[in-house]
Amino acid sequence: MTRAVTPGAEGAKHQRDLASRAAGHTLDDARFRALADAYGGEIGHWPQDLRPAAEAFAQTSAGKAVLEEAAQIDSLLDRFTVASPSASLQMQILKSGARRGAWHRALRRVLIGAGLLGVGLAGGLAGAAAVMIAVPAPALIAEDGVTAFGGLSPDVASSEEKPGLMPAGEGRQ
Amino acid sequence: MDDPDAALMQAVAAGEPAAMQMLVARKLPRLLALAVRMLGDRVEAEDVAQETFLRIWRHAGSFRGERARLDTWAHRIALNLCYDRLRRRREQPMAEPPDAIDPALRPDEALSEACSARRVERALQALAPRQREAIVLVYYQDMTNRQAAELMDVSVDALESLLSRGRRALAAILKGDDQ
Repeated sequence: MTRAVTPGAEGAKHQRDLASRAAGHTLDDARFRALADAYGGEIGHWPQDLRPAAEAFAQTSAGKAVLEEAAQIDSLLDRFTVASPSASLQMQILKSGARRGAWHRALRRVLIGAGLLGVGLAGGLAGAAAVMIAVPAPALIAEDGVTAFGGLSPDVASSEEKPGLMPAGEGRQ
Repeated sequence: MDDPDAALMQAVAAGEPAAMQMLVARKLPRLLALAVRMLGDRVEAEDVAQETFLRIWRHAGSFRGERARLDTWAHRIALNLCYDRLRRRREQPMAEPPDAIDPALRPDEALSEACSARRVERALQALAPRQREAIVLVYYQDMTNRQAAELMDVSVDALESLLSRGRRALAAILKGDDQ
């Protein structure tokens, strides 16, 4: 003879099964309550790895009561809405970004210009140095006594032509 | 780390106006909401949002997506700015106490929906700042527990403790209002 299972008894067994399934995923009553206290009454907002166990525990009457309590606080929090940013705020922020972008571009142009100028100067200096090394500078005094301004030897011929410069007595006989 | 905003930040760093516009459209509502809920003052929150974007523009070129997601990075900047302002409020003596200290309704306030929103806002401002921050990040900003814990530089356990204490305190404040 099979014993009749009353709906109430079956319900209680079902509740126990659900609770034990959740417990199998290391989620007991205390942990379930702690999670609801922290994350609220919506299991979709709970840590992902705990959701399957939480869903199972949520089917129990204890689970339902805990979630209901947490949902009341959620509904209070939901009342604090924030209006969308105004168009003027968005505009101000974009203007500051555009200024920053323009400044950045100008700075980049200056740096590129300075870089090119630097490369040019460096090239000029390097060229000058190479010329100095490869081609010796013209000597101011040549070996034969000739300078860039003329010979260094006494200009005897010209002094002879000038009577006042002749040695004393040489013109007298 | 895959950051959905990484390419956008590169374009912002190159000074592309369309990228800046997209970044503002994508991030401003979230950052403004964060600051409003942390400070309980819309004007101050708008200043924080502007300052946050100034820093984003300034550092866009050096932003490295592999270190932190843009969203987390921007939240960190905004939260630091909020805490600077909260600190300044504490340091500056005020002629009148701020509204946020008392979450109870003023007698002239009717029991409308807007008014109950104001009650919640005041109750949130009455919480300890770290509890408020935890609730704002997880509940309102929809961050995962790991993201919020990392941002707050606490363990996940500590975050859960801040959350549950904050929510309980909020409920107690609002219940106190009703009595």
